[in-house]
Amino acid sequence: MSLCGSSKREHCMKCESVAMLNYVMVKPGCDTEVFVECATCGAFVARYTLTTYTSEDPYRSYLRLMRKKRSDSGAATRQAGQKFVTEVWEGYRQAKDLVADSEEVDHLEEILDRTE
Amino acid sequence: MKGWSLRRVLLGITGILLAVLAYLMLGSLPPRQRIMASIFILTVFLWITEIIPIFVTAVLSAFLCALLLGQGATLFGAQPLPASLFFNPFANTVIVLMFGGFVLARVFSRNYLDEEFCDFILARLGNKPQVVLLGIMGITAVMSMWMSNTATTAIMVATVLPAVRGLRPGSNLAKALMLGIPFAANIGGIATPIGTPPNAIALGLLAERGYTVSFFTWMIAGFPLMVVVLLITFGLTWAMFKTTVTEFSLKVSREHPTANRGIVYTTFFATVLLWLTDALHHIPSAVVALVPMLVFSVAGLFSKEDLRLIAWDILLLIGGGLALGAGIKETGLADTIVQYAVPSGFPKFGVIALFSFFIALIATFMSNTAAATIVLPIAVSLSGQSPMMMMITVAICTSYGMALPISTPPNAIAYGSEMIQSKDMFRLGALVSIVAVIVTVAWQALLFLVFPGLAVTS
Ligand SMILES: [Zn+2]
Repeated sequence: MSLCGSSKREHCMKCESVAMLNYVMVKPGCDTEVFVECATCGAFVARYTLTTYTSEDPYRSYLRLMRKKRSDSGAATRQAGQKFVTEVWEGYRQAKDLVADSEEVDHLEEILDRTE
Repeated sequence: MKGWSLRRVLLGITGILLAVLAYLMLGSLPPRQRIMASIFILTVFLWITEIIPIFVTAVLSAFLCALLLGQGATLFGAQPLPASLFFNPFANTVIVLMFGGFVLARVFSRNYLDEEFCDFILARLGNKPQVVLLGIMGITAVMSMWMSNTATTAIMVATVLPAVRGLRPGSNLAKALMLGIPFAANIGGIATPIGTPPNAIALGLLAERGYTVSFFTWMIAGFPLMVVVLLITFGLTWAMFKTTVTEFSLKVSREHPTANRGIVYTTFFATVLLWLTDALHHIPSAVVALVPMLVFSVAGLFSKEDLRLIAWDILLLIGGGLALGAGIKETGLADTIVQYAVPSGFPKFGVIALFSFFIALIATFMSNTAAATIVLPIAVSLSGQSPMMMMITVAICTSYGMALPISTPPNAIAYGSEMIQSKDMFRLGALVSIVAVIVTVAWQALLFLVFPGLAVTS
């Protein structure tokens, strides 16, 4: 797989720290939100709104997605499951590779703007 | 699946060539039947290879029927058939019935009532491994009677997986649990008309011929059978994967954001009650099927967003399958196949047994709905004046194709957990398939001998 896109480690705009704390908020009927706080100085860093969530066990996350699905093909279901898991690990590896390659950008919003 | 890989292009060309070849080789048949045979062969080929999604193949076959047997038929020297013949099946009453079932299932899962039910029973199973296995298979089968087999398996595998991973790798109990769940989901679908799409194909084809099988009738044929086959499957699983583990329990302490329990359960039980009592009130099951959608919409539990997330692809697949069935019947191709395939004087019971084994075999290698769509139109033409027994039996046996990881979505999901090997699935799955077909054919024969007029309201 070729490397495309950009990637960076989130850091605190106040103290430059890359140590973060995530507060995950689940409200029935709303999208789940993650509030990110600097673990060093306690400043608010960012908010993410989740559409999907994958845990350290991607196959279980895939099962969560399939909970609301119907499928009529064993072969297609098998492929989709494998693809889901592979993409998670592959994406994780790529994100780390890209961080190593890219020059530092000041603010995460800058790379988000570029990719939109 | 995505992209124009060389494999897909080559397979696509092969499929078209096979269809053309079939047309050229069947010169002795009337033109309409030659066209229909070509479309049929292309459809079967695409369903086996899955180079395009199976619902797209279903729509393609309806499109080709409407095009080539419609105005296009004149080019082949045949009288055109009306396009409505191939599009009306998309609004067959059974599609409405399935739609209603989809809505019920969606509202259940949206409010986490499915997981709540699952945990409620699991918490009461104790710690004897055989009781836990039977309990898990029981919950799975009951849920898959009403929900999709895929979703049911996903919930059950996700629930059981952490505990299973705690067992010794390759342990027999882990295998028994991870095979018991998908097999129970496959089997649970046979109990109700809405349990799995092949049932709908059978009902739809019967409806096209003027036969109505009530919800209650299907359940009389399907539910006790489901219980028997499930118990046999449990017995075979337990015997094949004997365990030395003496204690096994599942920790179920999930918090569910459940909501709207009262209205959802009330609507569910009221709908099921109406489905089961149609002999008293004579409201067709498809009409009853719209009750949940109306109630949930008015109560704000079913939104436009939910509607978009309904599995339209499965409804299109069933519709396309019924359109193909209509084409096979209307062109007379079904009768021709029957003439060649089944020697006259072959006992009817033997024919049913033969078709039942055949469909379980091909459903092992391809989508169950696709298998039902290929076999059932021929089966219905064969069964003459009393197609009920043939259709219900063969449709049920479709669900028994479960020897391979790709046989059904539940199998694929359980296999993906990497807790079982395909040879384990094959050993148990093939055995279950064969035993289940034998039991089903015997049960249906008994049922229809005792109540000959049971299912017929034409
Ligand atoms: Zn900071």
